[in-house]
Amino acid sequence: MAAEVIAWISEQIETRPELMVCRTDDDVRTAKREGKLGIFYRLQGPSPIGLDLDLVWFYKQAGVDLMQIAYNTRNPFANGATERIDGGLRTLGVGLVKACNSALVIVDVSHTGERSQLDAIEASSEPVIISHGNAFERSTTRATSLTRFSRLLRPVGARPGLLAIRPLFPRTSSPRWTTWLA
Amino acid sequence: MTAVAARSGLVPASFASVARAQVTSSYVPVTQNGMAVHQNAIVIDGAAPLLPSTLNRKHIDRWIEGGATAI
Repeated sequence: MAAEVIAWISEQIETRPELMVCRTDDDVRTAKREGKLGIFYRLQGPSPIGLDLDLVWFYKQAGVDLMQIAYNTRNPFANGATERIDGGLRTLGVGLVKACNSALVIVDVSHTGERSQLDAIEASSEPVIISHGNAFERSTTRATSLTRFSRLLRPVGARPGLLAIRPLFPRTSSPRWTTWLA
Repeated sequence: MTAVAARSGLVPASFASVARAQVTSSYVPVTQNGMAVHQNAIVIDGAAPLLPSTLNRKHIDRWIEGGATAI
């Protein structure tokens, strides 16, 4: 299905001049300057590659520069954030991280279990990101929670992306961004 | 309406609760002109807006109209 989605989006980009692919920060600036809508290709989970690590290269050439290694549930590569047991990166997951490193696909550990997040950092030769999440203590769901990961980021000056989808905010308050800065 | 929807099971309970909270929210927008903010800022919406179920040209238009820089 991912290939079909990429094909559809690619068609839109080719046929609509107000759209453009964004693969670098310069592309984003170009989109802003020219009044276009930039589109990133990314995979929110590794299911499109099945168990074939070589397909990382296929998606890279299709324009995918970022891949999440799990989406909430356990998969052949890693543990998801909502699993009952906090399992680490699986053997195939180590291979996935290294395949992404080789293909220069950014490893994203959003929606990934904490132990797998930490394992991915250890296994990766390139910077690992968590593109979106919320402080665990402030979150209403484990799906996007940040815990020790964000604390690991601080010493190196990195920052996690925060997620502002309304259902994830505490229900009893009027949330502001400072609510999330645990 | 929200409570009815929650009881019906048609929407997740968490969403229904959010809608109820919004009714009583005292939140005051920082700016009354969000589009002006978007005109000056680089806005990247990474919340999976082009999921397979939304392969619709009009959905892309929403981000253009909202002033997003990239999605």
